[in-house]
Amino acid sequence: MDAREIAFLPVATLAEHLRRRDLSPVEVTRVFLDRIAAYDRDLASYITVTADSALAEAAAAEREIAAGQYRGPLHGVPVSIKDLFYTAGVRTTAGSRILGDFVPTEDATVVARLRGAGAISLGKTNLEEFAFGATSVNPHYGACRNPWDRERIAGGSSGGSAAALAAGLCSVTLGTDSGGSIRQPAALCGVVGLKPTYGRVSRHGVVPLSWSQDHVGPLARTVRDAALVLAAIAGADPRDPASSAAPVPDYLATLEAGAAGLRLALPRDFFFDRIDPQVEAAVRQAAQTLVGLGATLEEIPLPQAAHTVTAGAAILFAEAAAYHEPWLRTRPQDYGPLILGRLRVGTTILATDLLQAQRARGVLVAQTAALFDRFDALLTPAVPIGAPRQDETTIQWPDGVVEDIRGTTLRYTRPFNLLGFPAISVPCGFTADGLPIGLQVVGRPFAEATVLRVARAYEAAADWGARRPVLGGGA
Amino acid sequence: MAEPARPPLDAETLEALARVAGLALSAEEQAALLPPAAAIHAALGRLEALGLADTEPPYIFRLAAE
Repeated sequence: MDAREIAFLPVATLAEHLRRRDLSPVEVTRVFLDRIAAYDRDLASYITVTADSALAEAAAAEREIAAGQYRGPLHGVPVSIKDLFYTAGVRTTAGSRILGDFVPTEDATVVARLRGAGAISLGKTNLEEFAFGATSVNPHYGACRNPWDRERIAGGSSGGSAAALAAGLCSVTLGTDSGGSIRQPAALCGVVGLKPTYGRVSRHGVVPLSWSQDHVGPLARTVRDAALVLAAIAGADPRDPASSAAPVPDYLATLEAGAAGLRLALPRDFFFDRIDPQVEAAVRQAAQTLVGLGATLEEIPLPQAAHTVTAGAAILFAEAAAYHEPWLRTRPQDYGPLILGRLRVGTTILATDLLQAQRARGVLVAQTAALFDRFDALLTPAVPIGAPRQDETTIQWPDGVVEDIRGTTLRYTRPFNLLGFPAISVPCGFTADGLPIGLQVVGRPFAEATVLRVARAYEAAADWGARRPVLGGGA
Repeated sequence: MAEPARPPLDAETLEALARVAGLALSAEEQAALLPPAAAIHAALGRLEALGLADTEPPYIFRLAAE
């Protein structure tokens, strides 16, 4: 098997090779480190590469597997970690100058769980500064590029994670999502991105953006890989006050159950307003593919969706401003201009408005949860357009409305951060320019198994995963 | 009779809010801040359409039983 083939193996397949010992963790880790050295100067998907510790961890995994101490499907698998997660002894910048020298003394809970499962950390991936944005054009650590078209953004805030995965610079990766920051870059880079239910995965040891909307989840090459990582990181954590004690089901048990009999809904309003017709066509085609597999589909009104964006934005801006308040006053010069402006907007949210937004949240959760009495999952586009160019700051729609890139590309993902419901983006096609398109599947709280099942049924029928970006030199 | 609409956020009010928040902003910074801040304030004024009268916000505060 050549290096390129190894770099693009799904975790589930790579794990079989590692378990059977026809590939070694050291060999596989070297493949990724060589590719990072070759291609990441251009992509800027990593902030910190931990080559020496990765090789040491790989050697340890190799010894354990050889000794019959195989831990499971992540043992010996090289992963990358968004540079928002605490990593013991490895600096955690949050993509900022302010935390540029911050070296945590402990791992985030999810990082510790991945290490416990035997995963090998290749390093920390680039992101939007403090995760507050949608492009990963980072003013301090470089503009992360989209592997499908390097003149375009990888998305954000987990843009480095998505770009590294799409380029074959890691097997799987961890991201965070406070308004779409896993699903949006996953959609723009042509990989799978899962935001679990709020409380399903611990946030302990993650630099916060919005305490009540921050979610942790995997970006993966396949839906099965996302399920494997979720199984490793999900579950109660006493150090996260929002963590749920709900039992963690076997996410693989129903993964291949197909779409037959599932009741799906396609919202009529909001999710198809101001959208690239190519994206709309791909998403509607994906919905019909699921109908062809035996699901039922109904178009429904979802008039509350626009309010979720307003309430979610108010809460996110206010929570972010509260966390950053000391630095806003003492170190404003150390922020990039975009995040500084957003944080300052957050300081102008009135306490009464924040409470109104929270009251609206309760109403919106109840209204949306009621839909799941009739449906198993909602289908929407993940992002209304393909990846914008690096220099684009706004989009002008045919009706004359001008929308900024952040607002446009997070418009369909943000509602489910306010609501906390699980949602996944799975590749569902390409634009005429060769840019990936994502289908978003949303479920009722803690129904990750259903979301994964729908996404897997579609993935298996459509098989978009065979396409890979061309990085140059045949890689 | 219709309820009076919430007034738009103007430069003077924004300046006062920024001052209360302890921000030292130049005139240019304040001018840049006004459009996004005004947009979110205007949108928040529309949340009342959801009918929030009998709704309490979800609380973070809770106590564990001893």
